[in-house]
Amino acid sequence: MNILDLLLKRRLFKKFRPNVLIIAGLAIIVTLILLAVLAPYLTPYDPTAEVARPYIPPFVDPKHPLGTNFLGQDIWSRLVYGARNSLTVALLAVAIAALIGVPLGLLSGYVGGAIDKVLTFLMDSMYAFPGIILAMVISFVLGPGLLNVALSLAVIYVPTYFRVIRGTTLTVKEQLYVEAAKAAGAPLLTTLRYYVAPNVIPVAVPVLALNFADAIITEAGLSFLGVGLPPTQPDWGVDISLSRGDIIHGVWWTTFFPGLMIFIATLGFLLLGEGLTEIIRGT
Amino acid sequence: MPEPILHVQDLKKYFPVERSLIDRLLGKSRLYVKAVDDVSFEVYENEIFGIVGESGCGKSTLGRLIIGLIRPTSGSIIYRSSLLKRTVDIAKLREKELRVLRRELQIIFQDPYSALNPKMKIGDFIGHPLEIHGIAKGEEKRELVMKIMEKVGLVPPEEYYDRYPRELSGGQRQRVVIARALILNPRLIVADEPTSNLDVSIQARIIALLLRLRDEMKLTYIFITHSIALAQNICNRIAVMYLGKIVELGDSQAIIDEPLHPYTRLLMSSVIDPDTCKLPRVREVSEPPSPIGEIKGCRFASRCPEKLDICLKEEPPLVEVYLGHYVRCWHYVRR
Repeated sequence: MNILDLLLKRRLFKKFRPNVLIIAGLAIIVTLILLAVLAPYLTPYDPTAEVARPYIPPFVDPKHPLGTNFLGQDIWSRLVYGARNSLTVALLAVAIAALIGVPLGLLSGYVGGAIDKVLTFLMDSMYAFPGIILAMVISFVLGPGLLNVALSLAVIYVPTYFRVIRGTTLTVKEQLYVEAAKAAGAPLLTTLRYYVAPNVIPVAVPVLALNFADAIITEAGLSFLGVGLPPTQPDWGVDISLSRGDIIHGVWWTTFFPGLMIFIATLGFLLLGEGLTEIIRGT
Repeated sequence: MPEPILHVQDLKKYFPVERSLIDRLLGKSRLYVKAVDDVSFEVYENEIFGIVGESGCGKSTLGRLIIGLIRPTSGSIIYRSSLLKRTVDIAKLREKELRVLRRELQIIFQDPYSALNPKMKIGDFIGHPLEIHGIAKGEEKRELVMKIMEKVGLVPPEEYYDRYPRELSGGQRQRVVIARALILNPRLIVADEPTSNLDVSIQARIIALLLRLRDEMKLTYIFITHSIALAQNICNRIAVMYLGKIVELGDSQAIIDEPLHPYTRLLMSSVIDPDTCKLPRVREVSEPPSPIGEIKGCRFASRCPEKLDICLKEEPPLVEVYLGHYVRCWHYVRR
């Protein structure tokens, strides 16, 4: 094998790897979204109804493929409806965080001065606080509920966006085309919108995916601890929490399947995020 | 002589140097980089005024000061505006008025690789100033942009309009930069080393384009370059800058015939003669001193082969040796 072949292989491999990550991640994510959207068609049961005798083991009764829990609720039904809640909370949290963090980061990085100092100090103080504890406190104060969980998660992600966007803005700001905007007489908002933001925001995309992964696992954590979704909701974290006493009696399936879902969902977004990061770094 | 459209008077721009924490605790006073230090000159309508100097001498800062992209520490920049129909001091204008003046004062940037917005199509980038100033949009904008693209040699314009900067070569990019500077139909253009980042084969074509545009659009150029040979070829008058000060100012021809300042002579002796291809005999190779803090005496003294005792003690004044030919050197001061 000559050197050219080797180089070619290397480059192909480099190009290939992020793509594999992204495809694998997207496959998982798309499946989850389908589960969430099509939930009513994938199961005949209400996830909150007691539809059979409790503790049917999985793979025994074809009507309840993953078995039932201590209340006789169908586990499969709870998983697909749980996907709904989990994804909704994560989407809301990430969207709110990005909507606040990105503009503030742009402003802080571009304008600088006192605004920058104040904002950076605020964000750093938030960042210094352990995320899950901060979210617990906020969630506890706001009370259980889908939007409230999303809000408390958003609070811990805002500084992430702020930092990433501010840092990139500082670099982009020095580019001649930003000075070209000034030379053309563009006011502040025009400059930010057409010259700074389009060149800064792409770096936040991988962060978006990684935060999504974090949001799913943290939401499950909050719900497990009882400060997330109310215990009546079908939710992976809630399910593990309610059934956690089952394991010592040998009933593994009531906690295993929700746990598996959290694992798979988190993995999907992590893979996507890693793939995107490598692509952005590569070019 | 036509009337001056720009009169720069005692212009200064000092950039503060960041002090380390220890320096601050020790109470050391703040140091400044005197990028532009007490510069005065006039620019006449329709002329090409060259500013020549090494990198770091403050010539780019001076160019940006003139069109109000950065604000001076002190001094005035008197400009006769045809749009506002009055004479204004760019150094004292408010941001809002300055924005209106952008239509008359434009800049051509040095590096066409970072001067184009990678996320904007070429045509939209060239035409954006029209939208910013509410002059034209939509179809009307497209037409104006096409016209200017043809003028700068981006032909056929339809083919380039929807392309992104990464699809263009360096020469084409520089044409885009020029087109954007011209779209507002300006009067005075600061050309900040418009050819120094281009291949030699393309440089000549860009220069020819700039000269043609000056005639067609009645432009006045302030041409910033590090190449004294280039400046002497195209400029009417030249100012030679050294560490933030003008050391020689005069007609191009006068400076070619009789360069007065030792620094100008150094620059000219560094030019490689294309006929003989002989390497120039340069007497010294030292670098200019740091522009931070105070310099005692003449700033060129540390490199000057003809320095006198007084050069190390006192700064020479700018003196008019011949009519319109100024130099800042003790050799020409009558004492």
